[in-house]
Amino acid sequence: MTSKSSRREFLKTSGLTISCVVAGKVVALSPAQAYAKALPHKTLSTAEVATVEALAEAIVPGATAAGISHYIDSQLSVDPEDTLLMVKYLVPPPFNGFYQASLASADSLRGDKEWEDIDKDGMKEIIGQIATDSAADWQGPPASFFYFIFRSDAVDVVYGTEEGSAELGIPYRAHIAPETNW
Amino acid sequence: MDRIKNQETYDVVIVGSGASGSIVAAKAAAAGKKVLILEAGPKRSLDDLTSSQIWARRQKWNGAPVEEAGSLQIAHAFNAGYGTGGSAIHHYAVWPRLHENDFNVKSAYGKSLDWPIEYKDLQPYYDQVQSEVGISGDAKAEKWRPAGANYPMPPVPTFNQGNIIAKGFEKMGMSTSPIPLAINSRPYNDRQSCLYDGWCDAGCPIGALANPLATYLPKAFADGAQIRNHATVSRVLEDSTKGKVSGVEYYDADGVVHTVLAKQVVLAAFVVQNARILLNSKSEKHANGLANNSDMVGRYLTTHPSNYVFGLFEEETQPFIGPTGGQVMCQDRYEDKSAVKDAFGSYQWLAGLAVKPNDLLGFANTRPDIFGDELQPFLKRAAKHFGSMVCVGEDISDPENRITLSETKDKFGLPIAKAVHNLSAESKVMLEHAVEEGKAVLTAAGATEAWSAPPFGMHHVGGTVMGTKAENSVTDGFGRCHELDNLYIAGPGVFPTTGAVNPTFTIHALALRTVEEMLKVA
Repeated sequence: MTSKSSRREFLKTSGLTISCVVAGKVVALSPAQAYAKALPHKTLSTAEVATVEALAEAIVPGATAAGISHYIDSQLSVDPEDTLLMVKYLVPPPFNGFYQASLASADSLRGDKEWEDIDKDGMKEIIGQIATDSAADWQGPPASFFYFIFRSDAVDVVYGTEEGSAELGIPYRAHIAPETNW
Repeated sequence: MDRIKNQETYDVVIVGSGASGSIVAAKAAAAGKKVLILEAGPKRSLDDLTSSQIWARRQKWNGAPVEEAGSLQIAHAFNAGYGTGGSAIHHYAVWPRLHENDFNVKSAYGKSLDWPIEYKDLQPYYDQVQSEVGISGDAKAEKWRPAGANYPMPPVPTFNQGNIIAKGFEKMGMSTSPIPLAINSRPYNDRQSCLYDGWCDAGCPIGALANPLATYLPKAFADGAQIRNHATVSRVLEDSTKGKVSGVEYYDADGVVHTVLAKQVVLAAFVVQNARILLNSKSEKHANGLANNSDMVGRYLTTHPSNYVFGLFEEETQPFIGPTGGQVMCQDRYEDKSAVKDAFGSYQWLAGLAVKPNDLLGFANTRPDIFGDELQPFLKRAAKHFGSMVCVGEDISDPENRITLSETKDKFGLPIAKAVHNLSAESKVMLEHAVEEGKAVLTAAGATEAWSAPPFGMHHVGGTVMGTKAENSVTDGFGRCHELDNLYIAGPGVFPTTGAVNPTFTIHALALRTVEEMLKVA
């Protein structure tokens, strides 16, 4: 097996890309494409998806359309050994509990409001509480630690790609370009 | 559990295919030995090294988790590698030598440990590896450099970021030189020269950076060495009648247990896993594990206490260009390890590191306090005007910083490792001093703002240290276990002290010395 075919095989079997069936064929999609097609999530609940998208958009504008919820969802849906999330550097597997406990605590910060009803200043206040460990009744991993990792995830999807580098006005200069963004 | 009682026999079995394992394999195979490498991670080739900080996470440790504790943890999952080539696949190829004063720290300062060898014992091996692999540098400009052959290649060029920060050092009355890099500044030994695209951390697929896939593994395979991937070694087998080891036992990807016999066994599975394998190799005669009658296995776990400082400049620094490990080096603070009041340890500065927007060390994470509408303006400015340097500090070797076995088991039912590392008060003062100095350098270089990150542990060292006898160490000066004369340990685990330089060049030199000795006595 050549290394290219080995890489394709890895992509196919590891679940690291999101796929859908188009005209009878399985097509690999980036998280941004999965978000645009509103593909269902495998691991995150509807409430968790709403929290992920609201927080990520407030921290890294553009993260929702870049597919942050599908990115995290797809990476939590594979064997922890295969995940590409940065959390693997800092937390022992499995990683679902880390995200789900933190997202539940974050969700409680919206009170009676829906995420979409919270204005920019309100979101800034919530993010500030999470980033500085000042959120009341936070359960699970330290809030600022979750913020650091979650912010990195959002930076990954928005700026960790060739398109992201172009947005920042710098060349990506790949030796071997990724076959998908992640 | 299935058990296959293979009776495969090799001259040399090497556990791990990284920096040390690959050179041992190449030299043993070249000498006609029947060599088998057992690698816990997957098969990997240069073509797998995708230029992406996200995809590159596949190369980091993916085996059994390591429980960590202490005030300066060793960041095992970030620093350790997984798969053919080990952690050297994602290393930055910063290859300075240890200094003469790194070998007698205990005698000179009453701290840490002494090595059982001196710099002059290692110098010929540094020179040989340097010639075989190729290093780009300027020996004359490195006024701190210990004796050794000149570099075979001119230095890697410095770009805007390196030139700008070098001026800051100069204004502070400090010296810089090009960093000695195991990166080709011109074609060398059939490997092409660097393109300076800043992807060292993701793994260099063009072979310009000296990772094992480009250097010693091809030689080993050409001379007949074999490698078996997804082979997790659980224990070293002892021949109790002879005071020797007889081979190793390993699990394959399906959980089937295999036994391989060997005349010589080399543990080259990096700092934590080497100690874990020895501790897990219990027998009636060795209730605390192999080579551990004096309770030395796992002790003296060290790292390089390190600190980044960052700055933003009016000038365009082009931080996306150049080697990830940096462009210029300063070792002015190396010679006197007690120069700073209440502090201890040498340190060096590496400056002008190529950096990407994302990942743990990306420039976005240098200011986690910035989010929302302020984020993109910061990132756009940093993308072109960012500068960084890192202080690599010397640790104090402490027997209480150690690797032990956890109560938790891995997927094969084997106890995982626990790694405890605390930062000494003197190292903390050293880092605080260095951070203030680093910010002053960046300000002198023209930074309009300068800031720092929290301290972190760079590199893994110790845990199976070499020394003069079993009572104070695990191996002798050749990496041969005091208690079992055909069991060798290669890699940074045998370093009694860390020095304040990146370890990979020393890992190669020591491993070359080890295999030379192995071949003499075989």
